[in-house]
Amino acid sequence: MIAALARVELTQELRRPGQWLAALLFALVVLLMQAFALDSSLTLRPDVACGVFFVSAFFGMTLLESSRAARERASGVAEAIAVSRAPAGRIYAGKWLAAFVLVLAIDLCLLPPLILFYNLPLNAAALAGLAAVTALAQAALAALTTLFSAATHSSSAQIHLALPLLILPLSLPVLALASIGGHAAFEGHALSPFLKLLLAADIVFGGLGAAVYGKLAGRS
Amino acid sequence: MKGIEGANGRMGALWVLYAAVLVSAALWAVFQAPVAEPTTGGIAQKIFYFHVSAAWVAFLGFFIAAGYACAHLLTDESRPDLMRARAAGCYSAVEVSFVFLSLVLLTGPVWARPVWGVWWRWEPRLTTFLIMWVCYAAALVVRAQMPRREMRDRMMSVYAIAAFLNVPLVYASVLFWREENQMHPRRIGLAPEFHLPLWLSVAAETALFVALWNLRRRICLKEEMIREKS
Repeated sequence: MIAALARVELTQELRRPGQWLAALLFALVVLLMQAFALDSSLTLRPDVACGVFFVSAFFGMTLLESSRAARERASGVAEAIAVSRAPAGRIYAGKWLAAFVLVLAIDLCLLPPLILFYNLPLNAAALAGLAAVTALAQAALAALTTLFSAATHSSSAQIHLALPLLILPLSLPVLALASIGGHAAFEGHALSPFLKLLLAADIVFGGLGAAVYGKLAGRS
Repeated sequence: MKGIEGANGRMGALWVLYAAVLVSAALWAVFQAPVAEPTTGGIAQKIFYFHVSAAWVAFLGFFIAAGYACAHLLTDESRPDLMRARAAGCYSAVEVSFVFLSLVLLTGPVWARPVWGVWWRWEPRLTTFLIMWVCYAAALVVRAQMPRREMRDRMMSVYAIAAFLNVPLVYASVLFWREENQMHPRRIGLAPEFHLPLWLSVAAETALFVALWNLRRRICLKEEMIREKS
């Protein structure tokens, strides 16, 4: 059921890829904009690249998930989830899986411009380390985003405002860990402390989401 | 119901009185305490008593909020009064703790400037508190924009749990994030003459927190009653 729900969500995105493309472009612009804030030398430092990468991808994901939540509110999906008999934890897992795949796709598209503009060395071991950090970090961020997008259905504020406000502060430790962990991968340092903490974040946020999603989705 | 309200009211008044006495005693003890060495801030060090106590109270409040949040989410929906009371307990604990957390962030730089020479350092404990402040500020802002009481209470409860679970992660992350040495001492080594004002300040701010929390919780419940009647 989880895979089927994720497939439905992803198929919808594929049918109308405009929102995903907009989120990708937004993330790309954020990636380029951060170059202006970092330093004025002609070749940017690779040591800031991972931070830039995760922040850009996160902004892209926030935009994408806000748009998806707005679409769900407009089309009555939120009400359908509230009255559905399917277990809330499974619905949450399906939605989380779809969000995770969508943000990984954004990450994948952001990687070539990141390597190009931020002079990242093409090192297979480092890229594998970055991939592991990315997967664990995005799993935690997708868990948070999926959970709180359900809460924004009943906010009178614009979803585009409420969702980022709720998830950005809670995401800061994951973003920090991912940025430093990614940098550690390129420096050849041990990744296990970062991976363990990110895994802990996945378990905490994923577990919390599965347990309380139904309440935020309006179930009694 | 009126009997319970009356008992709560009397209890609330007692806490206000208790807090007033303890705050007065703490202020007296703080101003009687000797001035610290110039290297630890001189006269500015006196802010330490309020700063440490406020940090303790903020943590206590967020812990209470998370506890009430769990209780609220686990409460049987056939008992709406109990659900409402627990949701009010959670929200008011977050709101009052947020005030104390803001005090920590305001008093910190006042003390840091003469001791460290800067208003702010991106060191682990300061960063942890700043992230916590942003987390709870966001929850309060979003909550204020949610018109449906039931969903608003649920969102606040889930957020209070998530933010509290996030605290160890925030601390672990900023330890990696900031390479500078921790400026805050791991253990506070105080001369005996500073003990009394510190413990009195902790007791006073804890009592003040309980008094304010009680008041805010009752106001929350009254607000809901008025909203429902109108």
